Amino acid sequence: MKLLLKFNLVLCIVFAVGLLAAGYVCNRLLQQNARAEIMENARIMIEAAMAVRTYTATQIKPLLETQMKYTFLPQSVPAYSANSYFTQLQKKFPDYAYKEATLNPTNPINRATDWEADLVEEFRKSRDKKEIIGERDTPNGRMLYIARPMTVSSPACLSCHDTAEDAPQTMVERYGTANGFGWKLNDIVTAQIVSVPTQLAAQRAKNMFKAFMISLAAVFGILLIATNALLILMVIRPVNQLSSMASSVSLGNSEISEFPLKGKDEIAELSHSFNRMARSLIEAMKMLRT
Amino acid sequence: MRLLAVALALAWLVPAAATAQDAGTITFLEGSLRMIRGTTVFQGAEGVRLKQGDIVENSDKGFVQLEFIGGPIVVLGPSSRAYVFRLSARGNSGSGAAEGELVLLSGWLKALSGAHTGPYRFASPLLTATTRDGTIVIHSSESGCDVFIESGSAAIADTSGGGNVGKSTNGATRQFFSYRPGKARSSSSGPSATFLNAMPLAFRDDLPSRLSRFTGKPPEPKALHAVSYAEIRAWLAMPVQWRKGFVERFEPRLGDPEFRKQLEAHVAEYPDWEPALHPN
Repeated sequence: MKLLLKFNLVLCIVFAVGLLAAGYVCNRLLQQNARAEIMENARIMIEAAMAVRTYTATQIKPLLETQMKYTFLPQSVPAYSANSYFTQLQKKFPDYAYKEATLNPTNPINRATDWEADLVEEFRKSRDKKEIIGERDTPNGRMLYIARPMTVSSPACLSCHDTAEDAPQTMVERYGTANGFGWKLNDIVTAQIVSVPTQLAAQRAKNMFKAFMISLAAVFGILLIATNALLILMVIRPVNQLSSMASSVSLGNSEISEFPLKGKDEIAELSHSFNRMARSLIEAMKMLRT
Repeated sequence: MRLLAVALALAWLVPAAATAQDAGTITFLEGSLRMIRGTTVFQGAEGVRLKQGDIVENSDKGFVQLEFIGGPIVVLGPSSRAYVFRLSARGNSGSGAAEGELVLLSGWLKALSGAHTGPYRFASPLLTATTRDGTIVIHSSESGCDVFIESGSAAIADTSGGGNVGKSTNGATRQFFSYRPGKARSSSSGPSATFLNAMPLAFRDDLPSRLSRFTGKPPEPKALHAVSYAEIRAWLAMPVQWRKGFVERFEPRLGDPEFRKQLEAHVAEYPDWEPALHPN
């Protein structure tokens, strides 16, 4: 087997093992990173929703107090503002979903489903829990979610959620008296939930993994070509020339020219030694003939 | 003595004419506002002082805020006509609060009375509302009158053809009173959809005071022309209680042949003008 072939064989085996190892480690890291990035985005979205709620409660609702005497304005409701904000955000981030899942909401659209109610109960049982991250299967695939508790932290909340008698009349006219009342201060009544398909993290990781592996393979490929070229130019070709000259001398040809010396590397040393040996041999053969 | 007592009692009924007493200020104006003071038509402007006896008429896209001294903040909607009928300096002792009466001939009116105001009466040809601590919205037209008590309380009564106020009913926050000619007055909790849809959107907001912007010398309203018959015809036909003093006020206009001619053509509608038109 030729030297070049042996060399390339070993190189390819080493490259393949390296690629596999790098691919495995990289894939794991990318998956973790993608998931972490998505969770971070979700956390930012939740914080932004809270900021919108606070802005609505402290700045918008007071401006609309008089108008609310005439007609109920959902724009005065923090939950409505948060949902509206997220609806706009979804135009840029369509994979994310947001819900303020509430055990006893005024608007039935916000009522917690079974698993959401479990989250709220979990927060009510463990009040020190600030966040729950989990995955669940849905008809649309596996979903990753992050949930945070919402507490009735201000007496202002109770102006609409304590009793129907104290709530704005226009709100009662719109939603009735059956839902959304009886909240107590410091109760955890809602879980803010941002959901995203796990496929999103996997897809993001896959895209990055593909790009990375293609780049790595390209680098390996270039290395292979470069080392092959160097090997041929700097080792194999000179060795072949030396081998040819040695054959010629061994067949009695005393008129061969010396091997051209270039550089100071090992091949140049070999050439130098070969030329000396060739000269000595030719001299010895001349002496024998005379 | 008895004569003096009668005179004092009557003084309560007859609006003080041309006393030049400031009643309030125009603190916001959108569109144009026509004011009739004495026998002259003026152009209203922000900062202009209102006087007892002033008639104000808003343009069809107009919106004007009037703030009365010791009295309520009043907003008139588009195409609304009001008359500063009565203003007296009586009120809660020590508070400086005044009592007064505004007549809304037609259109939309919103009034905010607070702790600093005395009782104010807002009369329309069909319903009258009196409040001292409430915010009310009144819509008056030929087809009927509606009063909504946005906050606080108010006493609501029918207005007779002569402008007298009937027996009143106390209304609470969010009560809505409606009167249609030929039918009994009705009340409900909350305004009707028709009322809400027709009400100027701006009436749904608070009425913040802008009086602090007008502390300097008040501008004088720009005089436009002497009032014509057409311009005061509707006011001359007001219930008799409210148009007391109008004959003396507008009699100088009889010197205008056109005014005289048109008044004479309709004298049957206001017989109180007969002596002025034909003195002998």
